[in-house]
Amino acid sequence: MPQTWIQNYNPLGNTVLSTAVAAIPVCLLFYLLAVRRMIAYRAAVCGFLAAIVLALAVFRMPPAMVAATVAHGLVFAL
Amino acid sequence: MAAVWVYEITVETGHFEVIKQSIGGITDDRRLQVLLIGFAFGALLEGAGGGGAPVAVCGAMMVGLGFNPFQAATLCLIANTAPVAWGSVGNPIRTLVAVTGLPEIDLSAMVGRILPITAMILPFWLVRTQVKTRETFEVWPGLLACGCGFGSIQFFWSNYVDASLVDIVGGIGTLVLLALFFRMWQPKRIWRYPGEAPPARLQARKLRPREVLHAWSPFLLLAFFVILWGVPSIQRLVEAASVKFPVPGLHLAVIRQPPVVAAQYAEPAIFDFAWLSAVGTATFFAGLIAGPLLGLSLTSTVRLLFRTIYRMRHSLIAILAMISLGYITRYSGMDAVLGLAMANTGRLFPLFGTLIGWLGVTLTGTDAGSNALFGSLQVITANKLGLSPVLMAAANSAGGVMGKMINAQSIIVACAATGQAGKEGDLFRAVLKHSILLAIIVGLIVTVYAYWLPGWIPSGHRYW
Repeated sequence: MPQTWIQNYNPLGNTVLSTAVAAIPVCLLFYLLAVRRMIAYRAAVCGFLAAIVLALAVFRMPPAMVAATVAHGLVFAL
Repeated sequence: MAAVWVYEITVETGHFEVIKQSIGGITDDRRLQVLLIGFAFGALLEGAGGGGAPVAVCGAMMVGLGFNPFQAATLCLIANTAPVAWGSVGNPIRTLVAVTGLPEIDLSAMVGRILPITAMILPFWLVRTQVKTRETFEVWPGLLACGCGFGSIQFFWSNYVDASLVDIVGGIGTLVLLALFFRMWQPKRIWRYPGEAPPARLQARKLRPREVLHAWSPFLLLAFFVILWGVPSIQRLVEAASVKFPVPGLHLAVIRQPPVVAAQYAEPAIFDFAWLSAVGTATFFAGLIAGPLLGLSLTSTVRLLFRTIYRMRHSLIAILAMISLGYITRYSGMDAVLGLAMANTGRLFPLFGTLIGWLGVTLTGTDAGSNALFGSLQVITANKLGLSPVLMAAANSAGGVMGKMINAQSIIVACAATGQAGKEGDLFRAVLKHSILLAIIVGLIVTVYAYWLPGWIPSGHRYW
C-alpha cells in the first residue's frame, strides 16, 4: 500500500486565514493577467509556482505527491 | 488547437470567401450573425465536443467574416454558456451522477429547468454587449426566436428525452429555425461596424449549392467527427486504444474527508494517454481529410498544421501551466477550502451554492471538473440545510457554465483563435462582469426554486 495523505481543510487553524491562503494562486493569476496585464503564459507560470509553494509549505502535501500531481496535469493537458 | 487549423485550411484555399457569402446570404446583419455562429453553431460544437472548440472555431470564423477580433472573442466566450451543462455529449451531467449518486433523469431535468431561462436572456445579452440598447431591440424578433427556440428544445430534450444529445439537437434545431426565420424576417436597418463597407450585393454572383457545401465541408467534417467520437460504441472502441495506468505515488494516495465528501475517499489518479479518444484527435482527422478535399496537397496541409502550432506556442505553454495549477489546487485541497467557505452561508446557500459551481469551473475550466470537485459538497450541505440535493447538485452545474468564460484556458483559446495573443488581460476584464452577473442570475433562479417553487424540483422524474 503506498503512502497516503489526508487533505487538511484548515491548515492554519483559522478558517478565514486558510481560505485566504487557498485563494492565493488563482487570485495571483487573475491579478497578473487583469491588473498587471502580464502576458498570459508568464502569469500562468507564476500562478503555477505559487500553487506548488503553498501546497508544500502550508497544506503540507508530500513533495513526491506534488510532483506526481504536476506530471498528471501535464500529461492530461497534452 | 486543431480547430484553428481547420479554419486555416479553409482560408488558405480561398474557400472561406464562399462561406462568408453563404452566411451573408442568410443575413448581412452583424447582430444576427452572432446568433447564427456564436450561439447556435457554438452550441452544436459544445454539445458534440466541448473543450475549447466552440470558442476557437466560432471566434476564428467571426473574425474571418469581418467582426472586430476583440468583440468576436468576447461574444464567443459569453455565448458559450447556455449549452455547457450538456457539453461533450452530456459529460457534466454524467459526472454529477457519478459523484452524487442521484438519478441522472432528475439532475438533467433540473438543470433543464434552470438554464433555458438564461438561454432566453442570452441572445439579448449578447447583442447588447455588441451594440446600444436601442439597436438591440431593433432585432428583438430574431433574438426572441433564437432564445426561445434554443431554450425550449433544451427544456424539452433534457426533461423528456435524454441527457446526452441536448445541445446537439438544440444547436442544429436553432440553426435551422434561424435560417428559416431570417428568410421571412429581416431587420429594417442592417447593422454593420462603423466604417465598414456595405455588403457587396451586386457583384456577389449566385452561389451554387454544391459550391457552398464544398466550402463548408471542413466544418461539416469537423462536426461529423466530433459527434462520431461521442457515439458510445465508437467511444468504447477508441478508448480501448488509450493507455491508462495509475499515477505512481498519487493514485488513491490523497484522501478527501468530510465535510467535503460523505466519507473518507481516496482520490484516484490515472494517467490517461487518450491519444485516440481525445476530441482534438477527432478534429485532427477532420483537418487531414478536409485539406486534400479542398485541393490542398497533403504536405501543405501538414505544413499548415505546424505553422498553426508554432503560432500558438505561447498559448500552449500557458495552458500547460494553467492545467497543472488546477491539478495542484485540487489534489492539495485548496479548492475544497474555498468551496467550504461558500457552504457556510446558511439561508443564502442556494445563491452561494450556485457560485460554488461557478468557482469550480473558473478553477478547472470544465463543468464536469467543477461537478467532480464540488458535487458531493453540494449534496451534503443541501441535506444539512434541508434543501433539495437534486436542486443544489444541478445548481452546481448550471452556475458552473457562467464561469467558463473567465476560466484562463478559455480566455487563452479565445485570444489565440482570434489572433490576439497578449490581450488576455483585457479580454478577462471585458468578460468578468458578464460572468459574475450571469452567475448571480442563475443563483437567483435557484433561490426561487428552493424557497418558492420547491414543487417544481423533479424527483423520480421519467423520460417519455
